[in-house]
Amino acid sequence: MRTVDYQFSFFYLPIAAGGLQPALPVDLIRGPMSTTVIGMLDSGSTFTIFNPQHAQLLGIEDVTDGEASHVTTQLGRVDFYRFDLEMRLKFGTYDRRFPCRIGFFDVRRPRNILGRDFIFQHYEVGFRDRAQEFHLSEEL
Amino acid sequence: MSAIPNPLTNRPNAGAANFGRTGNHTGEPQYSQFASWVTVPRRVFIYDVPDRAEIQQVTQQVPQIQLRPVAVAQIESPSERTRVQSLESPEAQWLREHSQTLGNYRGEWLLICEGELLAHDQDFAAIRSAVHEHGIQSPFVYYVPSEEESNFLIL
Repeated sequence: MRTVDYQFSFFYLPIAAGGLQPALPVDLIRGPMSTTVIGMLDSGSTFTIFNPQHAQLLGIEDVTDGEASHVTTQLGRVDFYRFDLEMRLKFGTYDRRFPCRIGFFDVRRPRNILGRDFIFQHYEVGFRDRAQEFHLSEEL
Repeated sequence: MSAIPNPLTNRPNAGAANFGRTGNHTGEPQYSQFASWVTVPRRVFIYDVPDRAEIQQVTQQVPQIQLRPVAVAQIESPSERTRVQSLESPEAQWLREHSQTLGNYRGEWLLICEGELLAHDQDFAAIRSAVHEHGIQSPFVYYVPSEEESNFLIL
């Protein structure tokens, strides 16, 4: 049987009023501009998508300048626009930057989503929901 | 799971089969109530930490007892927690430390820098102004979902 010895472990964060979620702070970088964003790890989402206000902090005034995309959810269509950026993950002394294609919602949504197209491509992720912990190992 | 010594005798515990027994079939002192929180798995201990006053009370009643098993359980869990939390960014630490008061800012954007809440406003333009005003190079901006939005689900 395959076993995984995860590199990093984290407790869920109180990103919603009254609840804990598997979430991670990441830095979004566009040229000389950067911002720190907390995103929720969502293995059910294909895409990594953030609120458009974070794009403004990166000098993107109009997110519709990006590549138009959408997902169809059970609650309806959600539009977002994709840009080529860099994402930085830093835990203690661990520090990695990755080029990535990040989406921004057209309007503000309650959560930023870290989906399978980025985090789950670079890291093996394990959830221990009962203990409200999640674990990461960089994919080599 | 390795056997945890009986806290009253420091001898190996008889295990789950004898959990909670009150008799002295082997000549041991009665310890059922005490054992109910000494010998449970550590994950129970993490989320349901026994009252220290209760521990002291038991110790005073039977001063000859060595509470070594309790100490082992207490050391194991917090050290694990420290290891995990030491990786946390200042942003994550801020959220955790202020989780009880986040509800005061529902529907607002927060600007947090070096552990301080510099600005909060429903209008994001005010947050952008604060970012420029303070000359923050890489701002940490966080939106606190409203009560209704807290149940948000995207599928």
